[in-house]
Amino acid sequence: MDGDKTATVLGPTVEIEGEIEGEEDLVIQGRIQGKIVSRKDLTVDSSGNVEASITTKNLAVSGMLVGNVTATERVEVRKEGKMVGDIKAPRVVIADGAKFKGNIEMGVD
Amino acid sequence: MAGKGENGAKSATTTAIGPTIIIKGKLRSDEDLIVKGRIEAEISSSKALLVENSGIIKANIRVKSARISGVLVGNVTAEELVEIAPDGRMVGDLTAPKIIINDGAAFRGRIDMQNFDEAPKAKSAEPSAPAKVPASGGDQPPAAHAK
Amino acid sequence: MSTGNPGLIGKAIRIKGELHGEEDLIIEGKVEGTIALKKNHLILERSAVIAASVEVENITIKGQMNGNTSASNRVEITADAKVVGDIKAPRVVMAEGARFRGQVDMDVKLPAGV
Repeated sequence: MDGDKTATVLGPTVEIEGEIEGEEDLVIQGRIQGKIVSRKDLTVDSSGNVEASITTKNLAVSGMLVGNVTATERVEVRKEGKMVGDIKAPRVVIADGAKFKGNIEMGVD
Repeated sequence: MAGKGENGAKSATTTAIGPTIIIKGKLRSDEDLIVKGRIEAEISSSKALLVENSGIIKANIRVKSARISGVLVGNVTAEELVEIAPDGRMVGDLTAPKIIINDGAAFRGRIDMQNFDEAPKAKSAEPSAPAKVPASGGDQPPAAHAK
Repeated sequence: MSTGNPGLIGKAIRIKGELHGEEDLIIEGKVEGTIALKKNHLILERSAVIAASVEVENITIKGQMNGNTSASNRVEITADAKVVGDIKAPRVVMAEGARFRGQVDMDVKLPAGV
């Protein structure tokens, strides 16, 4: 697949209620409610506000996320990030300063 | 709606929705949107919508302006302008003050321009084009026609 | 097939009835009824006021038209036009500034799954 560089950036004024599916990197700067399924990397930027269940490859949260996450590689909650929900991923990083509440399940099949 | 000075949401941003993205549900935005993927979500935007060649929208949309080079199935209401590009295809009703259909475009649906009865902007000095058009083929004989 | 210059219905002419023919035609005046120029090009000039159903190969509308149009090739609605009625044609071009109200039916091939 070409264009690992192409990412869809949902800007700060974009609000989506529903489902998002994609096979390219996705950066969220606005508000999403619902469900996100991605085969690539998902980033919730500092202005992003997500209330959704997430299935993805990699996830990085610098904004706000409420919802359960299943990632095939790695989940990182950065120091500005806030997350409430369960994480299921082989690798999880919660940075110093990040806020997190939920269950973490690593190392599975 | 608060002015453009509001912090964070600068109206200069554009969101481009890539070709592999599928969105279902409802989408609201105050920035320009470029759609290259598939959207089955009602779109409501105070800015412009650009449906690229690979873009498919299957929903009603309400925007400031739209240019369709891909496929749109749904009704469109625009505050300013809708343009169907030569490779655009649309099925649905179009309500906007200005509409452009380019040669090669495909369209099926109703067109309703709200400013229909406004005087034409044409610089023609012809007095023979009255602003009132008889609604139904005119029973009135054109006897009052001024030369 | 047109044979030389197109016919012309001048500004001061008013026709009520059926108009049909086999040559290109320019209308500047008023026509009420039906117009059939199935193999030809009809031009409705800016001064034209038409209340008729029209069947043509190509039509260029620059004036006022009230009625349905069926074209086997192309319909062009220019910026000065004001049209009320339905259009059925494989190709339709509408310029910015044209005023239109009605149904437009072109063949639209949608991709599978839409």
